[in-house]
Amino acid sequence: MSTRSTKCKHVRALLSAYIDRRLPAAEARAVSLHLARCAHCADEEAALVTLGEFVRALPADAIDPDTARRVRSKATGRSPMPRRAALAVAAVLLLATGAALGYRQGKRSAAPAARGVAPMAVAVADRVRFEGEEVIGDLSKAEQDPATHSRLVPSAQPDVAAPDQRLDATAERPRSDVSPRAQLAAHLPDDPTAIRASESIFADLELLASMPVSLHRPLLATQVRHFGLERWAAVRSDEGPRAVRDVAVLVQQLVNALESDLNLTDLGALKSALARPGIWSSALAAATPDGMTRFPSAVGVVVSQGGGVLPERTRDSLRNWVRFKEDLVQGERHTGDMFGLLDSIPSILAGSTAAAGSFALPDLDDLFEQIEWTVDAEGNRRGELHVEERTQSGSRSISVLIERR
Amino acid sequence: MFNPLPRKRPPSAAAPEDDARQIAGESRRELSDEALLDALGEGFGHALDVLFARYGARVKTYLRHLIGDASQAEDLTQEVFIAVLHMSKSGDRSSEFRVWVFRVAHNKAIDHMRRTRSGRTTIMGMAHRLRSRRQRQETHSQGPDAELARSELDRALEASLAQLTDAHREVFLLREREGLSYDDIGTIQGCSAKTVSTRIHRARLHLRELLRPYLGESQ
Repeated sequence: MSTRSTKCKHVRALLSAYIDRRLPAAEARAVSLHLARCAHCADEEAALVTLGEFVRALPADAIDPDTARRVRSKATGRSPMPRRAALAVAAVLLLATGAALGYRQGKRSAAPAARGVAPMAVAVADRVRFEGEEVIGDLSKAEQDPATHSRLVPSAQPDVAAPDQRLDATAERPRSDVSPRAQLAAHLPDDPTAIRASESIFADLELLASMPVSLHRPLLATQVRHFGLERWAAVRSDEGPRAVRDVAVLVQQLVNALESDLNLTDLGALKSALARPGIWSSALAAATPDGMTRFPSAVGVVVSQGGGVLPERTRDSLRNWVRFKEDLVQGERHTGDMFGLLDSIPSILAGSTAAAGSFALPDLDDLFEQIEWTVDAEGNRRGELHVEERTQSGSRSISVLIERR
Repeated sequence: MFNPLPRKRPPSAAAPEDDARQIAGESRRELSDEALLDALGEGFGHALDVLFARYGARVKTYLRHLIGDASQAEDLTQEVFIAVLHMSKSGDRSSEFRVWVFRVAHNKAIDHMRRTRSGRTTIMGMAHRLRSRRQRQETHSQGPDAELARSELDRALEASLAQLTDAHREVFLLREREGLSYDDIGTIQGCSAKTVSTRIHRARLHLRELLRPYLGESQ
């Protein structure tokens, strides 16, 4: 009995390897002989084999067919770059168009929320917005004063007095390498403007590439949503400048193309259209005839993103925001209830700077760092931001109160 | 109010099926994974379709078992196939595709679990870990996947798998569902074949105990 039990124990320890044919021949033979004589061990072996059959019979998970389409669309080109580039172009276009339109509308109605550059911040932030959080903001005594804007964007002063010259200055680039950047340029028309546009596209591409792939489509959708509906309709239906409408149509084509199966030829043609010389400056000039001189930072950012090189500071700032938001998504560093608060800052500040057109993103980072957060006895979080604004005529305090309602 | 332009398929864009046929002749399913990968690297984008058809659901199922979240598993599956895309162009073919793809999936799952379980603030981390574990068990035992069509045995099996350790569950699935060798599993898990052998043995014994009512008694 004891001998048999010991033998059974030994065989059972080998059963897994025996089933998987991992035993040396002699040992496998010994196990086989034992199983032929011992019903209990044979049952045990059968149970383990059946276990494998059970798990193989489990149905595979259904997979969203859209997943296959998304992945496939990245494979339709010679490299995955073009689709990302297209997304980047969409982002840039949406930004530029939104900025131009926002400025134009703000100028017409002095609406409390000028758009300017703010849409980019909102667009980046919106991709991770929490539902159900409402935030109020109160920025006192800051309206209608460009000085506020200059305080908020003390050093964001891209050189935009002559945007075309500025772009020319960045025209030098190697064309003989086979870097992704060169590959991207290869799909654009062979003219300097297009090549410069590819530089900008590449810069934005890097930004998009730093985001999780799963966020690309929601980001694009959010941007379309953000800029969509009434403002798009207004431009498309009223007497809006032709150049702006052209950009709007191209953006819509791009969005449609991204939604469908796009091949490289189509993407190249679309990008050629987008890189048409002068399209950016004419769109902006039509929408903001005096914008470039009155509001240099707002227009400068737009111009530089539309046709030239993204300012390093803005790019870094955007990256920081993206990382910050990703950290929030992953719950690594921050608590979720800051989401709504964060998202609200651009609109709060934009509301305060309607006349100025916009503020620049780098300052959002700085400003956010200055917010003092408190939590009351009921666990409600509240933020206060105090900014000392210095103007030529003196100084004054600006306070922002952020809380959940 | 918002009038999107009509969506029009470009005349030059061939249907995916056509492209796939172009890649693989009339017997696209017979091409090896590696041949498809070569085709993908040469610009035949729809080779990815075929690879996805072969491995997409399997990778997702594997990931869902590992991380216990179907939605996240789907996102990670997409990331895995993005990696396939990059790999096809880099030409780095250090191992068989079916091993490589699960190794990438394994790494994605590990990264994901590190992110979601990194409880540096201990209380938050513990709470998150507990929540994840509970969520995984609920997903396996009574989640939306456990629908009417799934038999009681399947539910019991899913619930039992959820009770294994991550390493044991993974090794068992790779062996029994994917039919990978001990060496291949060792490559994926970054351990020796001996360790794999031990893990499979323990996983089987544990499952055997948990599923005893369905597998019959033995002495």
